[in-house]
Amino acid sequence: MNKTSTDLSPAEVTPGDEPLLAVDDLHVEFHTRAGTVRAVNGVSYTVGAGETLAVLGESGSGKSVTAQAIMGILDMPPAVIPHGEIRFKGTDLLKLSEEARTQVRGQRIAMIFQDALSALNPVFTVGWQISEMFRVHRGMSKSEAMKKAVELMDRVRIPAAKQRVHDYPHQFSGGMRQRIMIAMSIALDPEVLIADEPTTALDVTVQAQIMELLAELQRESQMGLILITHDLGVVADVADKIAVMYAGRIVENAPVYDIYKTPAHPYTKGLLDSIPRVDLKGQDLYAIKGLPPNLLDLPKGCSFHPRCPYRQDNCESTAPQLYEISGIRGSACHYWREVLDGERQQ
Amino acid sequence: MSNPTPPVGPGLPETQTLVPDTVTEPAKQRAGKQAKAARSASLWTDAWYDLRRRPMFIISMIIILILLIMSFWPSLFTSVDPYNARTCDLSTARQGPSPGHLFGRDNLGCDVYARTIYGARNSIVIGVFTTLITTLVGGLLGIVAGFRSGVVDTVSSRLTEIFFAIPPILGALLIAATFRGRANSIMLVIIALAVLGWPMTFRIMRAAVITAKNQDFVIAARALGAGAGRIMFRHLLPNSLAPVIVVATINLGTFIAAEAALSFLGVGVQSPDISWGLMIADARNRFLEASLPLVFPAVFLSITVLAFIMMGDAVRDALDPKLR
Amino acid sequence: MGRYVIRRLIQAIPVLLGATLLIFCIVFALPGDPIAALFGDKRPDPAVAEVLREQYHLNDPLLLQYWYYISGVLFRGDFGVNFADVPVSQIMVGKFQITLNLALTALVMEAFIGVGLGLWAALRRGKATDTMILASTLLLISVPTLVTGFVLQLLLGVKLKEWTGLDIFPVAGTFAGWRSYVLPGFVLAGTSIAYLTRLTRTSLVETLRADYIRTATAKGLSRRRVIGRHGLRNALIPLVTYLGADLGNLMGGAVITETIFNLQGIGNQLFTSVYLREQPVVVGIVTVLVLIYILANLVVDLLYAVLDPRIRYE
Repeated sequence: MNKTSTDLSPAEVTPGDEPLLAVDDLHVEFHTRAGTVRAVNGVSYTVGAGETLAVLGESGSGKSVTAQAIMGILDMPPAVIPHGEIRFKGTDLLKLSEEARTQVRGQRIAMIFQDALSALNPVFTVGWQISEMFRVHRGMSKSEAMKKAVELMDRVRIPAAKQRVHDYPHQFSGGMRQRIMIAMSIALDPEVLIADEPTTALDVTVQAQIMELLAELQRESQMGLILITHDLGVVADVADKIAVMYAGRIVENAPVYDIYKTPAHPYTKGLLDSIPRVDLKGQDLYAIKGLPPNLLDLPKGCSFHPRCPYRQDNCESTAPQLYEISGIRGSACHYWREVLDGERQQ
Repeated sequence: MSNPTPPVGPGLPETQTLVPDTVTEPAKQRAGKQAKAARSASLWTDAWYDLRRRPMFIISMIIILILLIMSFWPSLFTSVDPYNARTCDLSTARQGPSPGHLFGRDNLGCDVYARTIYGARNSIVIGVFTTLITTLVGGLLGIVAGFRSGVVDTVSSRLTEIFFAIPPILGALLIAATFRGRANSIMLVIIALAVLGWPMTFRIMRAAVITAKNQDFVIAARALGAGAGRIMFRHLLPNSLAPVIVVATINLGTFIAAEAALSFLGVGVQSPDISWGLMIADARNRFLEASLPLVFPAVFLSITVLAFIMMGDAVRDALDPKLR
Repeated sequence: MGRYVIRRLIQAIPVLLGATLLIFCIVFALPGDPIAALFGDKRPDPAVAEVLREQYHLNDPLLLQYWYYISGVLFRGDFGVNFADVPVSQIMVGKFQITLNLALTALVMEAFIGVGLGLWAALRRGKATDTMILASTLLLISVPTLVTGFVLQLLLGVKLKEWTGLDIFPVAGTFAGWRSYVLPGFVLAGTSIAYLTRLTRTSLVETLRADYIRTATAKGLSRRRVIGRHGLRNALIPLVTYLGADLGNLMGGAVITETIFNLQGIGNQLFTSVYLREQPVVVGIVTVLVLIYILANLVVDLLYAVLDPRIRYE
């Protein structure tokens, strides 16, 4: 897990057990007129160099907010981080000055967004937007930076890159736009890349191509990749491990194989059961009962208890911690053993 | 505006991109199940709830209420009847404030306070009727153009473009001057302003209708075979009314200011009728020696216009919290 | 781009013809015999009157009269003569200069003050500065030109001189060169300044909420560059549109300001001509104003295309 890269400057050398990026007990709240929205409630995860962590959850689970907190692009206020650490190579990013933070953003930790059409600036050419990274951060001349932009566009396999650098975002197809977004994010060889639902806005066939591209780029550069998605199908092939989020907490984390094979949390199990399967054709599709929780007013105890088939009395009063199942697995369910055993109690 | 109760809403709309959808999801589903009538009803209920706690709205309401009372029963505010020439005394022209004549006297020795009070009526009448006409004409044409598209829309849209190309004050000036003396001066002002004012309402109504037309519930109503009239007046109208009402309120203030301008130029309200614009015009020649006869109608005029524009602003903010 | 320009030009033609026809009809719907008016109290010799009538096409149907007129304007730049045989263009030219100076002064003030205040308010959103700026725009929109004109004339033109002895703002006329235009320019710009301030604020606030701003931040750009480069460039588009379109409004709305400050501009001339029933001058002035409005809007459309690539490649 801790394949720390070798090109660290002395100041950044950290104890050997420190992973590339570690989120530790992170809390994020939004203070709004309607009340305090508790979007992230104690999330911890790590990602090492060359490793892919998939963060899975429905909208509202806090997965994107966590990512934005890592990037430092939350609007504060209304967002507040009352507690937690985000350590990048041992340095807590939350304690850095804004200038120091800006140096990390984009250069060492980069991010790609869901909808590339709205995430790219409509009034600048894609070449301009990619080359901006080199001009601003590397002090390159316009023509040098533009040459780099063409190289990057070649690298993410955009045909006729040399001509197309001068085009505007709206002149590209959705998949091509996402490739441009990717090119821009990997421009300065970041050590961590966060992809926030990179394929959600795309056609299924294009989705696979983009995922492949991401996986390939990661293999070449050994970056740590955090893949945020609500789609179990997308992550199966590329992720090393998965963190499942619900109501701002991680309810289960495990290597990808274990999750698919033996989920240890009722929510994960529900998610897996609600995927349509060819071999179960004709049977009713399983659906998790009830609605996602209201973050303004979270249920007491375990946030999932109103929807949980394994619920017992203590679920309504005591919030479960993340129980360790094995060295690499955890589940935030009092009854993870029962879930693992597959016994359904009602 | 399909989401009537956004829990994270009004105060800090930027959180909507960051705060997950879950928060608003139940509300959305609730809203989805309700009929479209309830949809627009709850929009207004919410707006009303919001308005009641806006000081701007309350202040403008009070001012407008006082103005209305002033224009219906001016005698409640002053015992002097300025339409009676005997209340003027030329020998007291331009006298400063005195106990019986709080605002002093004007160039003809008439009581400025009484004239200012009585001036409210014409401003309000012209403002209200011009607004009514422009809203009816522009609104109706706007609904039809927005709903029908095609030739009707093209023709009426081109027509409004023509009107927009004419500077409004000059256009009104031309109309009012051309027909001066051939009609009641107050009616003439209303017509002159309405002729140049309706395209604005038309544009706004048309845009709102086009937006509403493409919403799911209208498409559904059409799919279910609802007639054109029913769709226009039961579905499109209630859902497009909000921006038109906002603009109508603001325009009411603008029309009052325009009336004053026309009267000031001598083509609006004619003496012996009283109008603030006319009072300003009368007082302007001796403005530097006696500024009060000009200042008082000017202040009343400003406060009146301010009240309506403030109210329009408040209503718009209440209806569309995103603009804040 | 070329096709976009041509389409815009073609669309402008019916607007131009329609607006001028409308004005023509209003003005010449005026009952009464202009020839008789010309002779004042004297009764004109019927033969002379008939010759004059023929000369001014007064016996032709209105639509034909209009055609003679507009074709003269468009193809020969000939605005006709007034009834005293002075070419209308000659009457207008100096007056237009004054109104144009006034409107341009107003436009420059509007651009600097309006955009400046709007940006300031947007960057201090929700703070006291923002509230103050918003409140003052409300005031500026609400107080009619008629009132601001006289108040500023009294305070800055007259009282300031009385109190300090400084003659900064001339009260009337155009004798003091560009300084004569400062005060009336501000009065004329008043409402527009307020609207532009609000528009700028809204535009920047909306833009800063866009996804691409988040992307720019995530690229590790400084806040200065994010707002100044990525935000402003987008927020600017509606402002340029507004400013361009406003030139026509300012010129057309100058009549009150010109009256208050006694500037012998186009508004004042129009006003006089309306009273004198000089229809050719009235129509001439309004036609030029409509032309300016249409030209300004054409320029705006082109600027729009330059600023927003999504339009350019439509």
